[in-house]
Amino acid sequence: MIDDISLDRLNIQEGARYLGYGTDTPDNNVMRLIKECEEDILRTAKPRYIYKVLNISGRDNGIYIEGTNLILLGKSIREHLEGCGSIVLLCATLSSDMDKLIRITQIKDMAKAVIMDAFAGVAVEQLCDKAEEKIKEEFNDKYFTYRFGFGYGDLPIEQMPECLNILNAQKTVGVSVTEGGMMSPSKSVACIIGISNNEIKSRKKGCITCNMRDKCSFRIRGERCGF
Amino acid sequence: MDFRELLNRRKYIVLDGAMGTMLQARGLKLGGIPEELNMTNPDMIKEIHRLYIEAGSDIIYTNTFGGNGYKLAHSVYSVEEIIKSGVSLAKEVCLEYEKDDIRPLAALDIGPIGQLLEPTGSLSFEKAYEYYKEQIIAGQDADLIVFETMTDLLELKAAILAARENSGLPIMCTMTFEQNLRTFTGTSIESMAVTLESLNADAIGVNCSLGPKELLPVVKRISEYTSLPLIVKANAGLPDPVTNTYSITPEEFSDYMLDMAPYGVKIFGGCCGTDQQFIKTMSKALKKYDFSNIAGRQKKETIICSQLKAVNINEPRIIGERINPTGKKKFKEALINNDIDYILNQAIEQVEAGAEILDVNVGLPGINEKSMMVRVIKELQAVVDVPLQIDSTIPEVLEAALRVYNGKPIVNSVNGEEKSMEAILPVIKKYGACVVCLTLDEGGIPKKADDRIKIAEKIMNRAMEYGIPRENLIIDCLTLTASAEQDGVEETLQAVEAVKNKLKLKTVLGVSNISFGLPNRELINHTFLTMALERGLDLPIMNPNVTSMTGAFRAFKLLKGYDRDSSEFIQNYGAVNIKTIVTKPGEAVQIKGNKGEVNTDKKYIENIHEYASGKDSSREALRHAMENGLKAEGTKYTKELLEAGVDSMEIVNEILIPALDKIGTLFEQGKVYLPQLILSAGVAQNSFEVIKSNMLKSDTKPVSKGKIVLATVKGDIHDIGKNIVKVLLENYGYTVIDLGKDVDYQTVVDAAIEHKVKLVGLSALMTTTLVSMEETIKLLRKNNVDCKIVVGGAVLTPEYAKQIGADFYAKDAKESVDIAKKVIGE
Repeated sequence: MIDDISLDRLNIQEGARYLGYGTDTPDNNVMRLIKECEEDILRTAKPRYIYKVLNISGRDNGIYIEGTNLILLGKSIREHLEGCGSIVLLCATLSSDMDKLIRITQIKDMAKAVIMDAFAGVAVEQLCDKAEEKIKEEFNDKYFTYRFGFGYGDLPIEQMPECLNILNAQKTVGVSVTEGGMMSPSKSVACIIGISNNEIKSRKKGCITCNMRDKCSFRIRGERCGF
Repeated sequence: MDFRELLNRRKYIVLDGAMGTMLQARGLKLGGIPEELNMTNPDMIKEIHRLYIEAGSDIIYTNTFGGNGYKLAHSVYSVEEIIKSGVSLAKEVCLEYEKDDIRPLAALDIGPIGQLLEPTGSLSFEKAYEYYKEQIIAGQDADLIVFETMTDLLELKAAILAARENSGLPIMCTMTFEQNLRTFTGTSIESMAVTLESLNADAIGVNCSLGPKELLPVVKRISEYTSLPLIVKANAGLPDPVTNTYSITPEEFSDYMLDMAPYGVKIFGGCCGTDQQFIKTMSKALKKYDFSNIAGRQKKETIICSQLKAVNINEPRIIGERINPTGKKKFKEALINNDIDYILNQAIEQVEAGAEILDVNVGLPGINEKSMMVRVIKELQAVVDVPLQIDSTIPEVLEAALRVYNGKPIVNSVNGEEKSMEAILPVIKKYGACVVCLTLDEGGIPKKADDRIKIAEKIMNRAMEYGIPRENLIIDCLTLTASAEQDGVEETLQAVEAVKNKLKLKTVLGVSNISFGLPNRELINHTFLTMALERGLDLPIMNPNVTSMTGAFRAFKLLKGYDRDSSEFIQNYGAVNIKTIVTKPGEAVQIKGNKGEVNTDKKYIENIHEYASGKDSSREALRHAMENGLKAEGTKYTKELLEAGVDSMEIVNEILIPALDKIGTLFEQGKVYLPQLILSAGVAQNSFEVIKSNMLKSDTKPVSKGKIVLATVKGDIHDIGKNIVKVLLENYGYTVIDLGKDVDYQTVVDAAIEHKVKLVGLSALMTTTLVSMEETIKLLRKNNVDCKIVVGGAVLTPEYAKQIGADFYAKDAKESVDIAKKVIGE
């Protein structure tokens, strides 16, 4: 378990976007709640993460992770990791205290809970950003892909538990997956970052890899979520 | 020599080192199932066992750590096969080393299931129990059982109960703590020690996560809270997260491990990163260690706990009494409608007001008290940190609650009647709880103090015959009503004093009874509270939300010297502006300042005052408060309107609902956003609360437009969306039967039938749980439940909703309301 990252503020604009504001700014009343939530989250969250760097090789049906029995399945992950010789398997979490805070807030003040939930999402993404930066520092002259999550494209979400097993995530960071395929604690992320010796052609994330593209409320409004 | 004999006779016991580390060194792949090696490579497992025994291990752990039904679900081998082979491999090796009737022992090694327990995860306590039971029955040939690397105290409790109820083997328990002295799920060291001792574990301690140096503070703390023999199975220092190598040498490991002996550690071993060399070095050092100077530990304190927090009854503590339907119309209604959030809110409010323990009573004719109690306990312990007092007259209800309680609770209550002691005391013993003992018996409540003390003694003696330690007994000398039996007040106080000083037992009293039938009850109550505390009351059961009561309690603790440096008192009252206004001679009114909910946004407050100055001001102001999400103001102007004689339904239909409609429309048009919609809904909710209380007071029943069942489907634990829908539906006057999250298909069907609802709402967040939604709908149709079904959730589409047989798809909370209007009517 690594707990060398602390969050000192949350990206308000990003959180507002999660709440559907697009480029609009929340009014003073909502902004006051956002500030309260930010304080609560920064006080409560216990950011921690674990990662492993593993060699990979291509297979017809996906990507084999060496030293394990696992083949990451599908076309999307194969495309994502094209030209990569190894990957970072990363799991990060804000801890179960965060879930508890959201639950308590739901009982006391639903509006605040909605904001809390969105901003806890922002917090865990910021944790991943920072973890990613730290990991990259260890590799000179290497190139990295963006973070690819389970369930993106055709990478089955069902493979997440096996990847968390490789990280021994329950023991190392206290993260497990329910039978319904959900991470608990809920404000947790598991993802794959490709490492390559050569520059990676701009392979942007975008609606095309997103399973939600057909019913995305951002797209309906002609916006993008930023993914 | 069996484990218990070993524990008694030997100064120390040596365990083995890591299994996983040894297997990885022999080529085990990451993420593989190491327990399968029992079948595929038994010689390798036996070789590892031998290495440890030859290094000095008295006990070896079987290779069965993850051998449970959940983790082996995709294995070609069954739990029984894996565990039986694991145990027999270890036993075979142990027998090879038998000499003079002494041999190493094989401990059935059991780790966590691999899923978090509800409500954080979706694994139920009962299911966890079944997983453990299966392992324990399969491993019955072992010499003892060890539960290790546990992080959730409740999961460990399920494991211990499964062991106690299905095997007679001794039990060792070790949990895994982080450097912040808590486990990942928040279990505190005190709670772990207190709870495991109360559940009769044979030895307890820590394993994994940290090296022996880092574990020293953990071990010190454990030793302060238990007299059980302690176990340490430490890692070889701290791991490098990438290379997975550990930081210390066998010699350093051994030195640090020995440093723990003075704190009562008797059982020494290694976890991740250790191998036979670590065990050998430590074993040699232990041989030379002088154990003769280590003092024994005897803990005789009354401590109860939740998973997170231990409360030592070494000074007065408030037990909050509000979770109890007696005499509370709204509470009764909440129980009938399954409104758990109402109950949870009562809990949170009491804790915020100063309660350190909460009494929980959900007994009401017509509801299933047992299942309600279990549900409430499970939900409560997920949101409040304080220990609970489980309050029921029915032994089965108490036992069911004791099983799922995460920690060591108080049970309320047993009394001096033969049948009560016979029914309750064995349950208290089994679950290691504290118990409230009422000083009454077949002859009723004795008038005189002496006779109540005799009953206390009788219960005490019986309890001790059952093996219940006296520090687990808390005597209730019973408060009688002063208006009816004025002289009884002094008798009660005398009894409290005697129980405390002569019997040396803890005391509890329900305080509020004293003032029944008298005016200014509050004054009588807090005066009596102070008197009783002075005579030796430890645990007043009272309403902490009454500021004068909590105030008297805090002042008492300050004056008596419990509240050192007055810090608690100052913390609570330092920032509060309390004015005492003498209105008439002999009558004082307290005004409490600045702790209520106040909107600090000046602009809005000014606006409100502007509105409030005009004609029909309250109506306009309420409308304005609704549209701008101003809760405190909403409540205020609703009250004003009611006081001015405006009809409740007029407020609802002419102000609240139109304002909600307006904001709903703006939301649909993308002109306001979700937080604002919910804020307005929150204002409406508070206004409805005011109106409801007013109606209940005047005995008019609030009108409900009809009932709707809501559930987040089986397997899905994200319920914020469903909860948003609930708030909005309630705003529009519908009664919501909220079944919570991860709801069984059948539960939805049963609720829909029982409450005769016309509309069932189902929510699912993940593609993986949509199938549960479909199954729930199928079962509703199969049972011909006469209702419409509306579905919603992030991954749903109108087409998919149709495909799985739903009648309606709601894209958001606002649309759910429109659908309810259509189905049930406005």
